[in-house]
Amino acid sequence: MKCSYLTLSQYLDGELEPAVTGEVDAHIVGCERCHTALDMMRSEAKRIRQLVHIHATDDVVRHLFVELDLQDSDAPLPDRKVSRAVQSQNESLPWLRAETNGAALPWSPDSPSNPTSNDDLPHPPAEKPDIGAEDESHPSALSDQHGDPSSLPVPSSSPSPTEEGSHAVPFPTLVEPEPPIDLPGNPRSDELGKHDSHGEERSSVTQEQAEPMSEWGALHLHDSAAQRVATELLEQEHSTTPLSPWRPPTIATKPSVLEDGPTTPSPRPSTVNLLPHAADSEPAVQEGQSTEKKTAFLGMDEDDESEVVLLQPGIKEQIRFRLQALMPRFARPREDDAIETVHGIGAPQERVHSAARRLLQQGSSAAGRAVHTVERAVSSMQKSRAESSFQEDDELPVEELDTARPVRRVSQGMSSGADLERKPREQEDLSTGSAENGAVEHLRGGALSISEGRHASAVAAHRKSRSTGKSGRNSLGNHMQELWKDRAPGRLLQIVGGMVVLAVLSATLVLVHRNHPTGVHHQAVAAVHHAASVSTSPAAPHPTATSAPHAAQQIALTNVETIGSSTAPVEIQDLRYGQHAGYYRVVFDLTGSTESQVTLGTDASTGDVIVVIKDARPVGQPAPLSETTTITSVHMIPPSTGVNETVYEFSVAKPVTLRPAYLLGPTRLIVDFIPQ
Amino acid sequence: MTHVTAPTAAHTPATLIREELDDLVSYAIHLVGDTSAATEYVVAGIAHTLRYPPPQWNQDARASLYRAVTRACRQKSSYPARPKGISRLFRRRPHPVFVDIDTQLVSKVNTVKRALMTMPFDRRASLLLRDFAGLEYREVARVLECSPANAGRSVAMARREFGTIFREIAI
Repeated sequence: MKCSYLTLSQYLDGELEPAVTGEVDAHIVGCERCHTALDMMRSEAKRIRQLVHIHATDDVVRHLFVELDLQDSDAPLPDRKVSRAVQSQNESLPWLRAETNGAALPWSPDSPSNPTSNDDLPHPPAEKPDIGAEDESHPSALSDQHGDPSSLPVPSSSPSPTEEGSHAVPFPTLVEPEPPIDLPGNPRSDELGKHDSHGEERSSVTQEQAEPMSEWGALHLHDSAAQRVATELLEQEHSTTPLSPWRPPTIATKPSVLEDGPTTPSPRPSTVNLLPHAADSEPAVQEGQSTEKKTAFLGMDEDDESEVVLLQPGIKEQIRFRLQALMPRFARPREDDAIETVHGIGAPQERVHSAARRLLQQGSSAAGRAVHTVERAVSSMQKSRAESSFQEDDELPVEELDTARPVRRVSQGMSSGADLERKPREQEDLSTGSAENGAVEHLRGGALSISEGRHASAVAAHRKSRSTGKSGRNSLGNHMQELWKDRAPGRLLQIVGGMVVLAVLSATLVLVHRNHPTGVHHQAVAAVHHAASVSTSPAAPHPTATSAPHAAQQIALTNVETIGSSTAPVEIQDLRYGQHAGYYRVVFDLTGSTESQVTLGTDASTGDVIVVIKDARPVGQPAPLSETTTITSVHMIPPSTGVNETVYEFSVAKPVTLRPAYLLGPTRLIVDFIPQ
Repeated sequence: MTHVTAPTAAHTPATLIREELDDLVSYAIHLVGDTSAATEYVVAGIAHTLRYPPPQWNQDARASLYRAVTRACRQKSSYPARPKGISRLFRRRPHPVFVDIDTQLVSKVNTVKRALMTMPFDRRASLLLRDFAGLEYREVARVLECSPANAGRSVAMARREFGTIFREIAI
């Protein structure tokens, strides 16, 4: 297999197929590059995970709930789950980890800091066992926290390939022995069915009576708690079945796993019968045979006559994930389609097709896109089957990761199909590994789009009903209409008055600006006039530098020369000097790309060179001179008030001839001082 | 005939928010880097989720919470919402719900946070959602509004980017 950062990342998260996970396990043994990358990835994920967690106090939570109208201020707060900060503290105690149980510790001791209350257990583990030692939600960790002797930890020779401890010495993927199948005609099931027919007995079912739950998980299509239970069961099976073909059910000693609430003492069972018409989905597998083809069966709950999907024990991880992801979205709006699609997971993709076709017939554009995606997925399946087994899609080179950016939804109702159209085939089914599951995944996306589209349309209708105007909900007209309807004329008058005041202020500003122009333009005009007076009338009063700024002093200029004509404001960013052969050069670095008007001349009284740059603002004081015999000093003369110009005075040792010039791009004013 | 466990009490909004509040606030703080603003965004996200709950609360509420908080962090939303349009000039802005959480520990900046803050928002969000909040790819996809496969790619890219930045500035 090819080394891929994406594959390693999914491997770290436990999102790969079991078979591919085994491939990665085998690959890491010989590939030092992947081994190093995985170690680095794992350490960086641990750094992220160890960021500081906030702990909100009860007062804060109560205040928040009151503000959000969730409950009254005197109502008791619900229980808090064990924070991740506490869990991270347990990470430092290796004997509390489920993965490190060895021969010296046949069971895990109960830890006072470990979450042992029932309210922690109903939540299914949100994380895949990606990080091994840090993952407290792994089902094996859950079972060990109870100190259950019947759920002895898996020996160190058979860890899950996705556990952290297995990466140091990778193990090959264990092939799970197929457990015997508990057919619906199982006497234990029948025995339990008697209890199900009576409500009171049902509520007081003992743990022994709940044993068949460890063999079959029933999944109500519109029943989230049952899904969770099935998920827990399957995870439990996965955590322990490698030891023996069949083992005593550990579910009996852990009733809290079956519960969805912390206070419910016992589960409420019900009876499930297989539908008679679902002949093709009935379990035709006998005990000891392979169960790969049939993984989910259709049944009916006698209690409320709702359809139920029976999950066989030992079902593969991907099937569980697909079911978990598929059910919530399909259950309510398209229950029949959901059933069909569930069956489509196991064997025929035609059922997926038919489900999608049915969606299409109901006229939803999102359903049409779903059909399109399904067809594409099936076609990709056909192609992938023709290829070799390990030329899978997840072998995306590292370089392609940058181009595989997540496609954002343009609209919630049309997302999944559009996403797929933009993706190449190699990126479609990375997480699924098989085209059937990819098809189901995309079909689920279509249903999600339908659901969200309905929600969005409902929200839009609600907004439309609130505002009868044609403009948007934030417009002033709608707001005024709402105020009028709410009989708030005071607020309405306030708005109208504000608008009037704004209009009057705007008109006043316009009039004042016309009569008394201010701003940069006016300053530029004044500066031009001032510069003209400096250059053309030597006898006119001219401001120059003294000890106090802005003091007026007359300067009589001779040999006046003017270059440039632009009056756009510029900045003098730098002033540089340099001695050249035969002349001394001063360079002014200016912003902009125009040639500002510059007046140069010689002070008639002192012989100093005066450079006046119009509409220029110096950034700083000029730098000290370099060694030269031409110029002895340079300083800047502050301009008069209201005049936007910069005046430099260069003291020269001997008379010079000035040679100004402009260089553009970047704009530079060059003045060469040529000794006479 | 199979024994089936019937559904029991589902998660109420108060229960779920109580469970996830610490993680939500921590996630938002590390996402935006501003403690006071992050609490405001979390409140806005929770209010949005309560106002527009997901169709399947028990399955999607957690992802919806993170999605709303992420969106609030991206759009800098607050609760109650600021008045919009020209009317905001004439309406007094309601005081946002203030959650006084001690965020002194979070305010300390270390190399990991510095590396996180140099990443783009979406990358940072995907990395925090997976490695910090512990969401699955399916939930990350729901939060980031993309497909699960793209969520996996986004997480992988974010990890690579974070590793590059972290190793560079940690030296």
